[in-house]
Amino acid sequence: MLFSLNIPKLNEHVTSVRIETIHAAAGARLAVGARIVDVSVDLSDLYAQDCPPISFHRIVLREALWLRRLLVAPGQFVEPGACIAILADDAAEAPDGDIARPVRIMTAGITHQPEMWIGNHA
Amino acid sequence: MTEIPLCLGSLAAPEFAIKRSGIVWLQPDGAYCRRRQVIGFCNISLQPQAPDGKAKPFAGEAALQVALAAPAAGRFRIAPESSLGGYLNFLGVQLWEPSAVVGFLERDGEPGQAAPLPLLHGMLAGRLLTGLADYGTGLLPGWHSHVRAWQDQAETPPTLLSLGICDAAGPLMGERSAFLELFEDQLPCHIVVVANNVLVPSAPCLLDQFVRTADMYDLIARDIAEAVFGGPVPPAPEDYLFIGALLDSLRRSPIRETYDIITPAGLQKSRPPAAILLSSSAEPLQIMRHKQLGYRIQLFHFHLAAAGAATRAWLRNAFARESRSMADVRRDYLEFFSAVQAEMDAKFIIVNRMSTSGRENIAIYTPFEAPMCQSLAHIAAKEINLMLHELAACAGIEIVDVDAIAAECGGAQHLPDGVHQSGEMQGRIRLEILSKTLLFLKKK
Repeated sequence: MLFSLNIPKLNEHVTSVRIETIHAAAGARLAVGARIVDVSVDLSDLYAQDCPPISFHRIVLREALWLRRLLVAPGQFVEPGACIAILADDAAEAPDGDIARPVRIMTAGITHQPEMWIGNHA
Repeated sequence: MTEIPLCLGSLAAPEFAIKRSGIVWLQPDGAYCRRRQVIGFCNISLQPQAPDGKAKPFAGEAALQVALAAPAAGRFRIAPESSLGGYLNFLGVQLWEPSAVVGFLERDGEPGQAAPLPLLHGMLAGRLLTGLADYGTGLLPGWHSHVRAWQDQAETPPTLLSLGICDAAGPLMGERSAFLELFEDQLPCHIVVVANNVLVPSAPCLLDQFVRTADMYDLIARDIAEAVFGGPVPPAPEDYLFIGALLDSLRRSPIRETYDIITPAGLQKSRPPAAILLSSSAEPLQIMRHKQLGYRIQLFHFHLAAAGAATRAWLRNAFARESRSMADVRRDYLEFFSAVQAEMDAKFIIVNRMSTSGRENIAIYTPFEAPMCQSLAHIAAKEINLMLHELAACAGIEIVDVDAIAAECGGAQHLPDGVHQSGEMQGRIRLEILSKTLLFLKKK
């Protein structure tokens, strides 16, 4: 069975998020609580100010699955609801079939981490 | 219908001729205005009356403006030729004549004209970070190192110095970034808001800034010049701008500065700050310490995008990143308070952090590194909020409880990123900051 990892709506005003760090590799078996990605939300899309309202969030798995395919890279912007990864309950299952349902995830607000895209790229 | 002429009113600076621009009206002709609502503004400058007179005041503050507020409620009418338009609403082309009628208020009453009422004055000043940052028209336009506001009715108003970031400065400066809401509420003090250009105003940086001597600054400036502009990476224009703004922050402590203010008793110097406003959101859990010279800096990661490659190479090579535990943050606060209070009777007010989110759903904590405050934003916020209560008990600080205000307003709607508030929430925080300041002043 295949599962999609969709970007949750992390905030009432969010229109896009940036992929900051990818913690998991395609093909890996991920346990409950495995980190998948850290993302940032910048609410200053319309107006570039010197102190942009940026917050950081970590998306974590709530069920044990295989990561079959990653669809994003660090630095990439995606919209809430967008599918960023395909997971499966069987390591051999091809990731091109029908999606059964979105994977269950946890989200948490986190502090800026040194390995993130922002702060390392102009 | 009674028509009340609105005149400019007196500005007490007897040794100076006051020149002004035409008036930029913020309300259209015929608009209904509340009492104390700011309805227009003009630029002013003070010229010594005698050639050998006093030096020109407000040195370095290129922006000096008077916000004009309605002395009573009524329908506002613009006097012909009060607004000259174009550059003449920007340049000091007229003398400030207290009796000059620039508008009218229409109010219910006997037909005829009443005696003129003077407009109320909100004073605005700002120091440009560079004379090259040409400023256009508008309220406090340009790139400032600080902006100030006061009203000219109070004798030597006490100073509230904001060294906070957006969560502290935003509520004070309001919707138009020009203190207009404070003028309408009757501003009880002289407010100075220091811009956090490049340097984040965390306690260690503020302490280093406060104790730094001119010799120490020279040493830092020479080292930066050699490392950034004489290093292997050719400097770009972005490097010069970034380093210039950084040096301006490192050079002076706003806590020690005094400022010119126009009061009913004439031109005076402000007193040292009675209250200093800080943001707990400016306290990082990692700080950068210069490997050779030992001074500390903290930069927002998003500001680094404005730096050139030479600056980024210098920051990478010349600084070590030091972790700060909550105990370190507490110690740094206490050292900073102690250094300042050894020299002046200033009280500290600190804006705390929103510590919850309805969007968060953590079922297990294994995906987050210990200590949790280093990775989970809301645990960091809870721990720092708790520490502020300890500081209130042992060091007498006052807390502006943004955490509680966000919960009352609805954090998801009014404080989406934990720092930048809605207008409604800014209003509540503004009231809380002012009430804390007044409480300190009463205790004095």
